[in-house]
Amino acid sequence: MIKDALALCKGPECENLRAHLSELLDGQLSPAKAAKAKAHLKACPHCAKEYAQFKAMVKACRELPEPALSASCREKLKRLYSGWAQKLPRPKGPAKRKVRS
Amino acid sequence: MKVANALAETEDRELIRKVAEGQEQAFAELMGRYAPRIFGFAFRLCGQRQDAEDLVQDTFMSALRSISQFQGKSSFSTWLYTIAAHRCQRMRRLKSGEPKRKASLEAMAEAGQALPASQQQDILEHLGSQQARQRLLAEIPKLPQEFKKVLVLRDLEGQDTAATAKILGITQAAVKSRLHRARMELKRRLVP
Repeated sequence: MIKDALALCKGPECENLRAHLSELLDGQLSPAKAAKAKAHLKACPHCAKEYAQFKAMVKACRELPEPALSASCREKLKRLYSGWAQKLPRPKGPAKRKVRS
Repeated sequence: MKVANALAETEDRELIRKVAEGQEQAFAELMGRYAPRIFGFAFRLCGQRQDAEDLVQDTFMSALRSISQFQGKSSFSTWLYTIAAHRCQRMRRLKSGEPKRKASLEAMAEAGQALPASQQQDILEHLGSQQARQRLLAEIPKLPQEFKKVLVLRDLEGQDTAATAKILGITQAAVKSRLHRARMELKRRLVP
């Protein structure tokens, strides 16, 4: 169904819109170009559908849950840090005064 | 927002100073802030939990080795992402000759492919469903490497165009162009 829609959607304005979907979505088009693109979306149901799907896909990407870092990996990182920190040069303490006997 | 970012960066600089002195509590704090994000980035790039965990450890060790060189010209998170992106590329080169492991995300892809035919066709209209999200997660690691990095940083990690350009060492125009191509390619894969 979508392929059929795209087959019908090959005018130069449709092609132009497809090339700028991301910029339109991210608000990076100039006001004049954005207005032209929005006017085309109102007039072309195929491009409107394509844009709605594109927008939904990007929104879904942004809302994907963050994968959880395992406790074992956190522990390993702490161990790696401890090993690294042990090799750091020890800070010098106050100079010891020689006690004369 | 800018005030919050500036405050976080000041706190980071203080933590980094303490980490460089060997203070374990400061490292735990810094790790708590950034390890999950670097893991998310790595996992979405390689699609393998074990590889992603190796990459997190590799990234933090590499950062520790050069922590005295961190000058605060960019945020600590941008610096870490930059290291992770380089280490990921290195890992990919090293692994390119190895047989592929059964990826955990491959199993998720199979779950996604098991969608009913009607949903396969209109997957973009069912993106709220768990199966469709799994399909999306499974398709992202399969994107060409250069597209994938930009898509993950911009759309999944929420980095802006300038930070993404800095992390990947490319121009902002290249970020915009690759992001668009990545999104179009992902959409094509979701609706073959």
